[in-house]
Amino acid sequence: MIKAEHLGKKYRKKVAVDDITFTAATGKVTGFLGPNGAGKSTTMRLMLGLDNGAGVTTYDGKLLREYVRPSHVVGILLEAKAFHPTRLARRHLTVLADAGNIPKQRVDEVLDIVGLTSEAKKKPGKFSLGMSQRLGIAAAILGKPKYLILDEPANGLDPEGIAWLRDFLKDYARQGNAVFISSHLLDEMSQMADDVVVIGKGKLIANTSMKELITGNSRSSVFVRSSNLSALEKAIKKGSLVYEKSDGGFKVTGTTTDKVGKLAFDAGAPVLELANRNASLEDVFLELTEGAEEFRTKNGGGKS
Amino acid sequence: MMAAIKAEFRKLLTVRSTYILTGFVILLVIFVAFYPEGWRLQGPQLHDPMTLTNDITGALNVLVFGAVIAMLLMTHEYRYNTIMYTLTSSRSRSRILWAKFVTVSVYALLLTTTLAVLSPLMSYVGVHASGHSLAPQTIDYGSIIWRALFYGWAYIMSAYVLAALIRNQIGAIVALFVIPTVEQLLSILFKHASVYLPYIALNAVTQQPSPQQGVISHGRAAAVFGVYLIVGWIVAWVLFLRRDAN
Repeated sequence: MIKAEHLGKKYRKKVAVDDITFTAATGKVTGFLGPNGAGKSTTMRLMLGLDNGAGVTTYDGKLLREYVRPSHVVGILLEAKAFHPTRLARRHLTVLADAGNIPKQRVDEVLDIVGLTSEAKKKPGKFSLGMSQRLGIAAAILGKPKYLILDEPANGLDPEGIAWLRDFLKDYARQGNAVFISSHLLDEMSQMADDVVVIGKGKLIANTSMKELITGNSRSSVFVRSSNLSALEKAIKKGSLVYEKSDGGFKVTGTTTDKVGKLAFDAGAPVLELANRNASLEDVFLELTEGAEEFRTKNGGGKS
Repeated sequence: MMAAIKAEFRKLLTVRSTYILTGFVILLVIFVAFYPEGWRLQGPQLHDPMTLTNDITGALNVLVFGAVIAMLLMTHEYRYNTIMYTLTSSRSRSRILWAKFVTVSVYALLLTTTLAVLSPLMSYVGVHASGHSLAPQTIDYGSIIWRALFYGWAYIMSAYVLAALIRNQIGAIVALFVIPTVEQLLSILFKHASVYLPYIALNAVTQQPSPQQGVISHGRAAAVFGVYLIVGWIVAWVLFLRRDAN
């Protein structure tokens, strides 16, 4: 498990990361969400000891520097284009393999995994953003680390690449590893992440499971439709539930389909439709981070 | 530590600039030593018993290109953000700095040795190829070997220390050129004490400074520059441990 405790970072008077504590469990993909400028990248750098700041991050209870071979513990991708542009892709990975005491044959393995075998002898300076991301992912998994910390790895990937990344990371986590990943592709994140950490303006907003985050959100509701709407409405009122008329039925919030179904049954209102209408991750994200955006468009940029 | 050193050597040997600049330096020394300092050598220079010794010290002036290579080993890390991989692959930042130190030292000594051998050799070949011969040469091997090696190592190491302090590629290279220039201007102010300025002291290891800048023995000059280098190294080390890696 990755355990980040009381992470903090100040740039002169500006607080970039403010006393953040969270965990990322093994066997799961943990999404790391926040608006631009929320402090996601700084938090990741603090977790890796790249930036000096407050707090500690442990990996299975030990600091990264306490491991003899840190490359075998944590793999990172913090920036897609983090390579010398004229050092051949394979050589770039060989340098990293040397530094991490990783066998050379692993270089060819990871190039194959990310689909860059044919580009191995090319200069990465000419790579597209998507290819650069693949090279970065290859670098991250080079040491077969238990933990992956990835900052926006899906940026620049084509749909096939994104699907591949999703499956790859979910599979990687299932093998008993932990994947901690930030992304602005919320739809993608909702499909990929099991848990989620949300920050805004450097502060922790949520650290929970994706399921809880979405179902526990005020925008999640139960939709119910009946041939006897008046009887159904009375029953909902009697049950002190919050509701509103919608699409020829009722949108009831703060409850479950079981409860609404029972109320309708007791009231003798035949149910024609009963379904959960969960908020999307985007809805939840916008609600959670409302007012926590560092940069905001004139009309707010969010959904109303 | 060995893994870090191996990685640093691979970094040095897998970029074009290392080969382009090193190749250029070697070709330049071969040309200058063979042609103007050999083939075209005439008159009293042929009778100077110090000609080959002067060839050695003269060749060291082109080590500025080697210094740039040492700088690139450090500044490329920040320019291309590979520093994050470098730092997370090792348990300690100090090991990384020392690994680079070892790499730069080996490169500096090899380059210096190559130039110090090639320069008098090509000069000798040039003189004889033109049908002349040199007067018997007086070469104090012990002195010239330590002075050349110290100069080459210390100058390239100073560039590495500047790069570690400044981290910006352009800034570091500019500093390497600006500091000796500023020292020359300061020597107007410091007069005979100028030999205690870092790069004037370093030059005094291989060549006597102008009388206006003061007199200093080769050994003392090396010690003076050594002190600057150690202080600079300690500051760079402390900053490397404390700074954010970007």
